[in-house]
Order: sequence, then C-alpha cells, then structure tokens
Amino acid sequence: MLVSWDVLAAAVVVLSIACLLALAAVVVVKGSRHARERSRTVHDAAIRRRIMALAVVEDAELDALIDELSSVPGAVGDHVEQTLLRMIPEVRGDVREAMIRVLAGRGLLRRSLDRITSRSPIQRAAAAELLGILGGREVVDPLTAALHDKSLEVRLVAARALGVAARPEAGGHLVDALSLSSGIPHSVAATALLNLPEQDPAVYIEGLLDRDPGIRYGSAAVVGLLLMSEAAEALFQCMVTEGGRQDPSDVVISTCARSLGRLGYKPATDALAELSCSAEAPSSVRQAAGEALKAMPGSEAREVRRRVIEQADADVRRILVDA
Amino acid sequence: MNQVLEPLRSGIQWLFELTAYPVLAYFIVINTSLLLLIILASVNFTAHLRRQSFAGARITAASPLSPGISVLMPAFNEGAVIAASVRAVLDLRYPDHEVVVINDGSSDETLQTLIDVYDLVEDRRDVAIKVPVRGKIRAIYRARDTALPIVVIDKENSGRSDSLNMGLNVASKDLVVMVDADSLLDPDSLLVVSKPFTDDPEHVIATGGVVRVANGCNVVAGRVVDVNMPKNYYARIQIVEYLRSFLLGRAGWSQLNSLILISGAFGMFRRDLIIRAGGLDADSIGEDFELVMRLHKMMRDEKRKYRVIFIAEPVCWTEVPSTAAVLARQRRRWHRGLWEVLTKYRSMTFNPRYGSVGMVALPYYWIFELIAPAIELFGIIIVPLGLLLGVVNVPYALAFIAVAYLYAIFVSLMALLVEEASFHRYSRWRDLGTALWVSVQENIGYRQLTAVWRIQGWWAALRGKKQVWGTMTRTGFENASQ
Repeated sequence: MLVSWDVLAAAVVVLSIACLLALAAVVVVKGSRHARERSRTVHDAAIRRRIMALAVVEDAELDALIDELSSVPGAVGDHVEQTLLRMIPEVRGDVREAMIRVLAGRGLLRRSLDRITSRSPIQRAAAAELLGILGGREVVDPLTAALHDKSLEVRLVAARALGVAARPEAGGHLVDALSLSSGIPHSVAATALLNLPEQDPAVYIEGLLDRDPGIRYGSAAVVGLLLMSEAAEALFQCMVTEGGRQDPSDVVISTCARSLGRLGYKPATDALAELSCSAEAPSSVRQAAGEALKAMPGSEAREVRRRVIEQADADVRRILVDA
Repeated sequence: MNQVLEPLRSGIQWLFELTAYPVLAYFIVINTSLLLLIILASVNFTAHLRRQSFAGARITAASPLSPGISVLMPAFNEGAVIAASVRAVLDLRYPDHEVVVINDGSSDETLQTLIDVYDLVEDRRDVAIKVPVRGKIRAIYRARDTALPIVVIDKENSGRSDSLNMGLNVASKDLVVMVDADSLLDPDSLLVVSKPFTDDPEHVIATGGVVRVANGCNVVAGRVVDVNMPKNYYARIQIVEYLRSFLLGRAGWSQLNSLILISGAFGMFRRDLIIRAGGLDADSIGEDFELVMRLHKMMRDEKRKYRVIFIAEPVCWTEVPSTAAVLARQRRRWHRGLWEVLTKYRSMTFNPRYGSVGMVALPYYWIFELIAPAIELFGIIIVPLGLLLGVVNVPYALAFIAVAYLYAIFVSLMALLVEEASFHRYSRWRDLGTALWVSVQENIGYRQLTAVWRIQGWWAALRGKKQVWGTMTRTGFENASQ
C-alpha cells in the first residue's frame, strides 16, 4: 500500500504551515491583549483621580469636573465611558446622576438613540441597555418602541432597560409586554414593573381580568411583591369563586395564592386551606397555597394550618411545619 | 523464518488493502470534524461575548421573580472538601437557591462535618417520593438557622444517581443543578447558567456549564482566585483535553442544537421534566449522558420544541485525576457509559424523527467517540508492523503520523487560539508555553494510553463485568496549588 512522497510532502507542508500560523495567531492574540491591558492601566492612571472626584467633589466644582470628563478626547475618552458604565450599576444617588451627566455629555445618549434603530439587533440591544442606564424622559419612547422590535432579544433588553430607567410612564407598556404574544418572558417584564415608581393598583386590577394569562400572571405577581392591598380582593376573585377556581391557568392561580399570602389577606385563609388540600388541584398550586397559608398572620391562620397539616400531602406538610 | 513471516505478511497485506486508506480517511474526518466544532464554538463564543453587556445578570440577581434553584450535591466520603464546597454554593450570587446535600452513606466525617459547620438539626418531616429511589433515608437535617437554605439527606449508600434522585424528591425549587461535591463554582455561575431559562422559559429544558481543571489553581474559601497550570503531567494534559472536548466541542454541539451530553459536574435542568422522565437511571454508568438522552427522546417523541444549551462562561472547576490509576478508572468508566447509553438509544441513531440529535450527534458519537480508540490502536500497531514487513512504504507511515498526530496538534492549537481570543483563563505567557507544549506532548504516550483504557472499559461492558466506581484520591482544594 503506497502513498507517494509528493502526496506526503504536500500533506506535511500544509499541516506544518497551518500549525505555525495557528501558533503565531495564538501569540499575536495573547500579545495584543497584554498590550491592551497595559494601555488600560495607563488610561486608568490618567482618569482614576478625576472619576473618583465625582463622588466627593463640592457642588460648586461638579459642573466643571463633568465638563472636563465629558471632553476627554480619544482612547482615554473611550476609557472614561467604559469605566463609568462598569461603575454605574454599583452606585446610587447624586454620584450616579453625575456619572450619567458625564456619559450624556460625551454624546452617549445621542449615539444610543441613533443606534437603537440600527440594522444590527446586537447594536439595537446594546443601545437599549445604555438608554436604560442613562434614563430620563427622552428614553421612554424609543425603549417602548423597542418593546415591539422584530428581534426578541431587543424586546427583552428593552423591557429590562425600562425597569432600570424607572419612568412611571412606561408602566402601561410593560403591562402590555407581559402578554404571551410579546414573547418577552413574564419574569423579565414583571421584574421591570417592580422598579417603576408611582404605580396605580387599578392598572393591575384590570390586568387580573385580562384575557391574556401572561398579563394576569404578571399583574398577580406585581401586586403581591409591591404589597398593593387594594388589589387583594381582585386577586382573591381570580384565585377562587364559590364552587370552583375562576382562573383557567394554574400558574396564575399559584401566583395569586402567593400574593395573597404576601398581602396577609385574611378572608382568603379558608380558600387557601381548601386549595392546599384539594385533590383536583395540581401539586404546584397546592404548594403555592401552602406557602401562602404559611405567610398568613394571626391565630386563626395558625389553627387552619394545624388542620391542613393533618390532611395535606407531604410537600404541603413540609412547607407548613416551619410556620 | 520466512515460512512463519510469509503468512503474517500476506495477512497484514490483505488487512492493509482493506483498511489503509479508510484509516487515513478516518483520522482526516475525525480531526476535521473537531475543527468544525471548534469553528462553531467560536461562533457561539462570539455571540455570547457580544451579548455580555446586556445579559441582564445583575437584574436577574436582584429579581424576586427569578426561578428558584435547588443545587443537588451528592457526597460520598468527601469530608476533605464538603464544608468548603457547600459554603461556596451558599455564597453564590442568586436570589433564590437552596443546597441539598445527599450524603451517600459516607464512612468518613462528611456528615459530621456538615452538622458541625452548619449547625444542623434533624428534620423529622416525611418526603414525597416522586422519583423511585433505592437507598433508604436515615435522617434529614436542616440548619437551625432557617435563613440558611441547606438540607442534608443522610441515606444508605446506593450510588450517585440514586442519591441525585433522592435529592430530586426533596428539592423544592423549579430548577435543579447537579454538582459534584468536589466542584467549585464561580460566583455568578448560577445566574449565567439559569439565564436561558429566564429568557426562554418555554423551550429551554437543560443547560450545561463548562468544567475546567482546578488542579494547580489557588483556591481560597471555596473559590478559584488564581488560575495556574498544574505541575502534574496528567493534570496538565487534561487541561488541553478539557478545553478541546468539554469547552469547544460542547459549545459547537450546542450551536448545532444537538448537545447530547451535559457534564455531571455542572448541569441545570427543569425539575418537573426530570421527574416526569423518571429521574436518573441508577443502573447507568453514564447517568448524566443517559438523562440528557432520555430528555431528548421524551421531548422529540412528544413533538415539543425544546433546547439544551451549553454555556461557556460560568466556570465549574473540578479536581481531575493526577495519577495513572485513577485516570484509567475514570476513562474506563466514561467509555463504558458511552457504550451503554449509545446502545440503549440505538433506535434514535440515523432516525430522522429525532432530528439533528438522531442524524448528526448520535452517529458522530458512535463513529468518532466510541470507535476512535479501536481505530487508533489498530493504526499504531498495524502501521509499524506493515512497515517492518514491507507491506506499506515509508510515506504511508509518515502520512499516518501526519493526519493522526500533526493534524491533531493543529486542532489543539486552534482550540488554544479560540480560548485565548475568548475567555483566556490562563493569562501568563508561561501558561501558554505549557499549554502549547502539552498540545504536542499529549500525542506521545498519553493518547495511546487513554485509548487502551477506553478499550478496556468497552471490553468490560461487552463482558457484562460489574462496574466498580473506586475512589478518587483528592488532595482538597486548599492544597491543590501546592
């Protein structure tokens, strides 16, 4: 069986060249990263003191410092932006505001507003993230528009960004984003809603009656986590009616039960006890009802828990014994 | 003498006429397929890294609506590492997670260490058995401080899979992560590995995180704080091996939506689906592989859309075998598990009903994972023999070395390049030098040894020999760097 010397030589030469090229590429990639790290260190040294000053400088000097950082040119300027974007999630209050003013002063807001309509979904998602961080009234419209972007990833990032921007006018749009048709996971849109100030319970009471189970779920979760006691009766109605469950979705019923527990809505105690022992309800619903019962305050609830422990399944008993 | 050699010569000549070109072609195809997986992995990594700035991990970390996670940690004689491992998991950044340690009848101080360190008290409540288990529960413990989310199940020894099934019965969260007691998780690992479940709760059923080698790293309080190359020969080689197969190979399969193997050291699953699938197969040696295959089969049979995703970013660090004896046992077990799972699910292979899993991934595992050690050993025995007997010429033998080994070195270099361009966990030049040297070194001796061990595992499976897990001698992480 033969292989000619020519074929062998060709194979060895090709493979050897490929190996050498790969080796060179590894060395170049590592070398260039080390070089970038060195330049980052130099840039850090150039701006660190001024960025730290944003936190401690007197009000009278703040505007000048912001102007100075906003006008840093070139690679050091880019480093200012990257550093501030890394720091912003960790800081609150005036310092955060000052950092955002620097970023806005460097034109990041304008660039992000341009990029949110870019052709690349990654660019649009990155722009949405930045708009959320920068916040302010002007970011609400582009971000709510992005909730209808053709890319699910952009819609998802826009929902999160609206939560970070925390503008009350975004509330209705985020409630709509809870719908199943939006494709945005309920937990993402609902988490964003938790961050919004000045929320109106009526929006969520209406949401509990919506035809879309996503909106009902999100509304039930939000009213419980934000302790909106005005919505307790609506939650209760959503969870149970005389003669049987009202909501067709088990997930919604579970969420209503947990929220009623958080709200400590005493009129729901018996219904929760019944649900936690119901043979017809799925295990997840029984456990949610058990968790809600566990959270219920008062001696009456304690009695009900004792009664339920004797009748419920092992999972619910495990939940209730701790109470 | 000639009378003896002549029939041998004719036999080998006949064998060569049959196999010479297929053997060369086999090595070309296997290395090319690895190269393709590395290219696919680089696409996966690029997409992952470009999305890092808007991944939303921080928001998930603070959200009360993030799905709860039960971390299941089976432990058998892990007294040296158990306290640090549990502490590391409890300290992971995640809003709602619990640790369920299953002490699988350890004969060392594993249970007592946990009781002492975490101030555990016995919990007399009963457990709803949703997944059948063999090992009987001796006791369940919880922390006296109810704010500490830890449950310890002390049970009779019944193996890792049965222990995990017991953990599934006790777990209370929607998602479960299975980790080994000797695994060390990076602080954000739960956040990042659960992200696909948050982003696509309807379709994602399982995610697997990358497992890296902890040997040689500095570990403080259950965290890898400084990544170094180990000095041990076997551990060093496994670094490049893990990089090529576990990181890049699986990322490539994930990119093809055909990931069929999630490492037992770090995998996250939807609890309801594992329970519906019947839990882990306690009789299987490759229980992690078997579980993922069963989930694939269940979802495809039910014609449901689903995804199994590999995530390269969160890192689980594990101590790999540093002696030939332990490594041999591990490789025999892996190959035996591979054979058992592939034969169990043989009806899925080349079955279009199972999509890319049946048509691409399973055939690949049959041809390039299961059979590979046999072809390799065949080649390294028959080629020198043929050369000696004058059946093959020198260029053929050199061509064999080129496609089997030089090409493999090129593949390893490409793997190092992708690692260097993406996650670059080994930052020093010295580490790079070691990795480059190891890429060459593994082809001389190590590869052949592992091929022998894998064949032994396969042979033991064919003979129906009972598998013994054996013990993995651990140094303990705090000493791993010494």
